[in-house]
Order: sequence, then structure tokens, then C-alpha cells
Amino acid sequence: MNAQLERIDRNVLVVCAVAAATVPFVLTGYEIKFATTITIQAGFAVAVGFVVGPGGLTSLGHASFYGLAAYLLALTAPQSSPANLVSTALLSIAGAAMLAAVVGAISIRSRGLYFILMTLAFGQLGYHFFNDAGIAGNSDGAYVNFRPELILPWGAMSFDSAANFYWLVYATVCGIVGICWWLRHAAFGSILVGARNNEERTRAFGYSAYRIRLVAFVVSGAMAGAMGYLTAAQHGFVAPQLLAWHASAIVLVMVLIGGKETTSGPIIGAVLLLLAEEVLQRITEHWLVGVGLIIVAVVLVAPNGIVPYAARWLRIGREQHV
Amino acid sequence: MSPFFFFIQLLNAIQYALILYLVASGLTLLLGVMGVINLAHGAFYMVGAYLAFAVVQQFASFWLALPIGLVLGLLLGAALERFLLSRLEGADHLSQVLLSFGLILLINEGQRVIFGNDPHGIETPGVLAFSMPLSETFAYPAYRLFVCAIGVLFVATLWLVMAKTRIGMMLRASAENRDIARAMGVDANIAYVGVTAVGIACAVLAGVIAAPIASVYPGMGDQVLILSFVVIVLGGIGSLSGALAGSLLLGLVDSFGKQFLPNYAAFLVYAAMIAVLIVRPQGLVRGGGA
Repeated sequence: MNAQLERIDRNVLVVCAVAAATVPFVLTGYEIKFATTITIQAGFAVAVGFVVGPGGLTSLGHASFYGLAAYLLALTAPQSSPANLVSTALLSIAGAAMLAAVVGAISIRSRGLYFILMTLAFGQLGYHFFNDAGIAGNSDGAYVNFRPELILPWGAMSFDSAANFYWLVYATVCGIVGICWWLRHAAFGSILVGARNNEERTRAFGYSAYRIRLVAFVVSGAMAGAMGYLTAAQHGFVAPQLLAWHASAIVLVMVLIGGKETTSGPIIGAVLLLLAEEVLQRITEHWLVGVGLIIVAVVLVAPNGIVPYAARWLRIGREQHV
Repeated sequence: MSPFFFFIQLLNAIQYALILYLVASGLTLLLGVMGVINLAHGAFYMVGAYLAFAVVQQFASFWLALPIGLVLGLLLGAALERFLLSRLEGADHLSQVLLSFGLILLINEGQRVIFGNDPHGIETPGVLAFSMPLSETFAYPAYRLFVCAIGVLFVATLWLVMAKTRIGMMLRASAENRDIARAMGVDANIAYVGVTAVGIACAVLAGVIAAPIASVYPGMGDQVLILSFVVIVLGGIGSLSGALAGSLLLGLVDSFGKQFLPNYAAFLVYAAMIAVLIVRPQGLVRGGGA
């Protein structure tokens, strides 16, 4: 990634973070809930973008980590009182990370198309597990009756209000974006990109491409799990659709239309796609036609994603002014 | 278990496998020859099924749907390559994944606009609406035997074309090594348009033929798409004979799995795929040639 794109990437992230911080002050009710959904999906997309971009690992199975974490909350939360936020979240994230470690350890041996299809198969396995195996209500799904609360020394902090819950989501997603940004720009990120670009050279430097990819995959799976946990807490409901391949594909679409080589790309992709959905849904019952057209248009016009496209466009504009 | 019951399950497995092969062979050709991941392949299968439904409604003739499906499939495939895929030349797999996912949304929603959300059944065409008696108690629907026959015919034709003709040779060469095939004078543009047209036509025809057996419903292509990918992975990307082996394996797992482990049939399919990939990360049959 060149220095210019990197600078724009960072600026876009700062603008997004500031804009998102104003949400609870300028929006109300339903709008805050919708902003919460967007923020969660943006965090999920950033997590996926981290393996797809620098990692070069196109995963079509990340929804299984996301969905497993959501189910873990539904399965462990008490029926008639709020769950403990810290312990259930840690359990969900650990579960997602463990599944990602197993899936990654097996899948990363395959490359290219086989990797995509391998993660797809694992994803489907997860979907059918919760759909058919008789756990947590099969295809009917299961409920999380109370939103988890944070137990502090001086009392419990509830996230029942839309604004409070939004702040929880905001802080978590900022953390995820921060971790991804930091990993990308640390030695870890350089080795990961190096392994993607030239595996043999990386090996010659003494690094194991397999191991570094696996670590990236597990970190990304854990972050996807955190987002799945928040989704379950937000809606109070989990269903096998959370793990379906469509969910994995949609988040991949967000990553790709935004730009997988940047950290801010997946955020822009998630925001644009979900806003477009929301607007189109108000106009027509057949809003998916609009979403499909947007996706096809972006692929044809900006195959590397919107953020790199905008960056190039800005650069050309500036050069003309000089 | 009576031998007739076993025999019927076997026929079901073969018939299921052949329809799957019709879809998967197109998908694997696209993958092998062009390196294109077409997620919308299942959606074209659905187009075929709804086409059969519409033709039966309009003209009260199922047979008419076959030639219409063939022509429509060829045209759709050629247009897909000409106007969309060819623009992505040189881009990575991800652009194709994204593009074809966009197409799924467009096709699925287009179907809802035209036909609505209700599932539909199609009557078995009159001539074949009877059952072949196998014993005093067992009979097998003639239409399913007809599907088997078409499938076998298709397998034979495809094999002949790929193994014995000049076009087949060019396609095999492209699947083996795209760049060298090009350097040796394979006209990539013609080969690509041809392969996409034929590949999509296969999917549409599979949908037409399957329509009287499976009911016609929104999103019906999804299941077939994923299963076709399983078939391709089992067989090795780009390998037609591998895809045939994969289809038969999946047909057997599905039809016997549904009888003996009804809750876990879907599970078994993916478990089989993962098991194969663990042992052979590049597929059962070596990828590459046909």
C-alpha cells in the first residue's frame, strides 16, 4: 500500500470514528438501533477484511465464527436474569477463536479456490449443525431474554438503553479497528503481506507462512466472534441463518466493495451497503435488485474497491490543480 | 432391506447425480478453462426451472421448454461473458465472486418480481406420466428414468466433444495451462464465450429437467450451487471425469443418507468434502485436464 493511500485510509478512519461518536447525540430511537447494526457489521467486515486483504485468505466461512459466538451467548445466558457481560463475552470469543483455529489449521493447507471452498464447506457444516442437530431450537432459533450487563465493583451497568448499548458496540469496534490497524502496520502485517505476495521469499527469511496465516485467521475469527456476540445481545435472538453462507458472502461483499487493501474500506462498504438497503427498502419491495445493481456497478467501475478508487480520483484531481 | 428398495435408492442416487453433474460440469468448465468462480450458477439453474414452469403455463407443453431453455441459456451465457466477465480479465478471483454474487441477487429478485414467492409444482409431461413396474409392489416413475437417460446421453456427448474433437482439445489445453494454450494459438475470446455459453446452458437445462421432480421455488438454486461446489472439490477443479465421480458419490451419500440418517444427510455431505480435502488438498482426481 503506498503512502498516499495509507494517509487517506487513516483519514477516513478518523472521520468514521468521529462521525460514529456523534450518533447518540444527534439520532434517536430506531436510528440509533440501525446505527448499532451498521457498526456491528462494519466491525465484522473489518475482521474479515484483515484475512482477505493482507492475509490473501478469501474466507467464505466467517459467519460460522460470528454465529457460533452468538449461539454461545444464547446457550449460556440465564433464562430469567441478565448474563455477566465479561464472562459470557470471553466465552463466546474464545469459542469462536477455537473454531477458527480448527477450521484454519485444516483449511490453510489448501490454497486459492480450494481454500474458499473449504471454508464454505466448514461454514455449511456449522449451519447444518445448528439447523438440524437439535441444539437451541433447530431452525426456530433461540432467545436471549436479557441483554448482558457489566458487573462493576459498585454495581451492575445495564445496556438496555439504545444509547448505552451503542457505546458498548462503538468501543468494541474501535478496539477491533485499532487492533487491525496496528497489526497491519507492525512487523506481523509486513510478514503476512509478504507471505501473500511471495511465499517462498517469506520462507527464505525464516518465517512460516502457514503459522502466520493461521494466527491472522484466529485473530480475525475471534473478532468476528465478538461481533456475533454483540448481534445476539442486540436482537436477543439467534437463528441458524447467522451461520449461513449468505451471511459470509454479504460480509465479503462489504469488504470488497469498500476495498480489501485498506482498513477503512470494509467500514465504508458496510455503511454504504446497509444504508443503500435501508433506503431502497423504503422505496420498493424489490430492493435487492438495487443492491445487486450497486454490487455489479462497483465491480465494473472500481474493482479494487471504493476507498482506493476515491484515493486515486483525489490524487488525479490534486495533480491537475498543481 | 429388499433388493428392489435398494435398486430404487440406487436409481434415485444416479438420477440425482446426473442432474447435479449437469450443473457441476458447467461450473467446473468455467473454473478450469477460465478460472471463473460463478456463484450465480445455481441461479441459472433456477432460471431453467422457472422457465419450465412458465412454458407449461403458457403453452401447456413441457417439451417446448427444452429448446427454449437451450437457446436462452446459450444467450445468457454469451452475454454474461461478453458484457461482464470479459471486463474483469486480469482481475483476481474476488471480483468474479463479487460480480456473481450481485448477479444472484438480481436473478433471485427478478424471479420474485415475475413469479412471486409461492412454490409451484409442474406436472410430469403426459407421455412419461406413468411408472415402470419393477415387481408387484415396486414401481419407478418413467420420467426419472428419462432423466437418467438424458444424463447418460449428456455425459457421453460431453466426453466425446472433450476427448475427440479439436474444440475439446483446445479446452483441455486451456484448463491445463491457460497462458501456454493461448500462446499456442487457442483463441481465448472464442473459447471463453463458448465455454460460458455452454456452461450456463447446462445449468438452465438442468433446471428445466429437474422442474417436474423438484418443486419450483425461490432460491432453489442455492442448494444446488453449494452441492456443485462440493462435487467440484471432490473431483478436482477443472476435471470433468472427477466431477462425474464426485456427483455419483454425492448422489449415493444423499439418497442412502436420507434413508438411514435422515437428520444428518446434509451434514454427511460436507463432512465427506472436508475429509477428502484433508487427505488430498487438491481434490480426488488431479485437477487440470478433462
